[in-house]
Amino acid sequence: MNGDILLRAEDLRYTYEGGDAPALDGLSLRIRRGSRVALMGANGSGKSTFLLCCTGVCRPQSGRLVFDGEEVSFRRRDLLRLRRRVGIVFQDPDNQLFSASVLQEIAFGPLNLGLSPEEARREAEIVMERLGVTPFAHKPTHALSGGQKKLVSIADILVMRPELILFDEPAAALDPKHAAIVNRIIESLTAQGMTVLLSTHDVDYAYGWADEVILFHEGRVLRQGSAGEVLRDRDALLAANLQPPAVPRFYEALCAAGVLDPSDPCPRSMEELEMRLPHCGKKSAPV
Amino acid sequence: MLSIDKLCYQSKLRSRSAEEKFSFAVLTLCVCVCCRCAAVSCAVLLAMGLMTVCRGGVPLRRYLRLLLLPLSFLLLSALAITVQVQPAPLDLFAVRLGGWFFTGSRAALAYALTLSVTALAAVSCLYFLSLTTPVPEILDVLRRLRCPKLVTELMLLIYRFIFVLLETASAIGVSQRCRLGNRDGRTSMRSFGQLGAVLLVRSAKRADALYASMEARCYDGELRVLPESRPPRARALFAVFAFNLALVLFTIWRGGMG
Repeated sequence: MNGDILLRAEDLRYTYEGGDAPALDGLSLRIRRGSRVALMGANGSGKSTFLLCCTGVCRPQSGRLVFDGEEVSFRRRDLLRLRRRVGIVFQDPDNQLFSASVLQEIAFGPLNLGLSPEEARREAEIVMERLGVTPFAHKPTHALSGGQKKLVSIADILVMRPELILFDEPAAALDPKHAAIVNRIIESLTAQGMTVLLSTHDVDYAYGWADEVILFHEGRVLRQGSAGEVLRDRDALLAANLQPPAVPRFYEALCAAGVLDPSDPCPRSMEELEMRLPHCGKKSAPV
Repeated sequence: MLSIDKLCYQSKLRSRSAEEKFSFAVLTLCVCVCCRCAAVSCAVLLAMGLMTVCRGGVPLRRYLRLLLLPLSFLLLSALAITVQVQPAPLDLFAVRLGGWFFTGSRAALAYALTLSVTALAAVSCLYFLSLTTPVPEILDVLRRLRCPKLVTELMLLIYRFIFVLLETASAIGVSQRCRLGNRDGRTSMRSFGQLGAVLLVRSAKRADALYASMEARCYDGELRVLPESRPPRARALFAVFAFNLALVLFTIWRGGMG
């Protein structure tokens, strides 16, 4: 069973310099290999700090972080090894993109991995094609729209072929079109068996997508479990400043009204819920 | 800055080798400054203008407007060189002011004009380079010329951060104006000061965040950049050399350099 655990945090504690309260205050959790995990919680609950610890950018003042059975060491050489396997997409792409052109930006990681310029260019071109950013390969990064910057920041990480990919609020400040594109990319990564950790405030997305949801509260794990369990726990959601997702709310209301049978499992999406309705079952196909 | 960068990415000469454009601009600039000859400077000004506007596709009006900025400084400098206050009048003009004269000589005027047109021609060389060659490609050429890595890496980061900070400054400026931050001169000054202070703090924060994101991509202290430039063509380099040789020979024929 332990072989299935890709990442384990034990009693992590971290306080930012000059910070009053600890950002992580005895955080412990486990992430299974190949799982889709949503980290949720109020602002300042420690989600982003935990993600930074996972890539060694923040070094916990105490506690243990174990990646693939090995304790994470914060020596320079070991960190480089860790960062080959763990990639992070930051919330604000402007904090991530620094190169003058998109191609150079995406090739930065592979060059750091020791690939030759030709190999790095080839790898970058493959990822650009996959994410649909080839048309602006030679554009300067400052001339991109917010959505395009986000796609490039994801390409930056995918090109390094990490085993674990961390997304810090990937759909924040994106228009619906780009949010949908980003969500599709995340779907495709998890379909390939990659382990994905994603911090988000979008309960509806997390409910439909995640295998597991971890609720953070004041630097600790408030609740960890399947999306169905955690996102239907109203007390835990309230403590984490979150609202229950729409699907279970409608499902519960329909059960209470006698339209649906409460012994059936709660559906994962609106489409599934719609199909369960007595008169819509066959007629309305998923939108 | 923003418009120059935009024009550069739209230039028809953008796809040409950066080495060709760099050698044309820098070699011609050096020849132009060393020759210090008005005719040569005019030829350079014309050649660079034709290359930037006709071949590069930069709109003439935009180009002339860009040239106007250094021209205004140059004219002021020329005025300072030409006009002197002396007890005796010189040969070009003289205006008596009590026992002294506001006066100028033909030689000083010729010198000021030569200096101005040379400086303008030199600026046109730099405009040609910056309006046809993206900064990263220029940095790539500098790298190949063995310019210290620290300098080119810093230039790259500064180039990128100019745009991030301009965006931030513009957003803060809008937010200040929306709340009457420019109600009168005094408020505007105060708002400007606050903007500067906030920008400093934000740039420090951004620098931290950028460093973290670079580290997360295995940055180990060396900024590795993928070269994007195309190799130079021998014919183009020969044309650059021939043009500059012609300028030097013309100057020598006219009576020497410097």
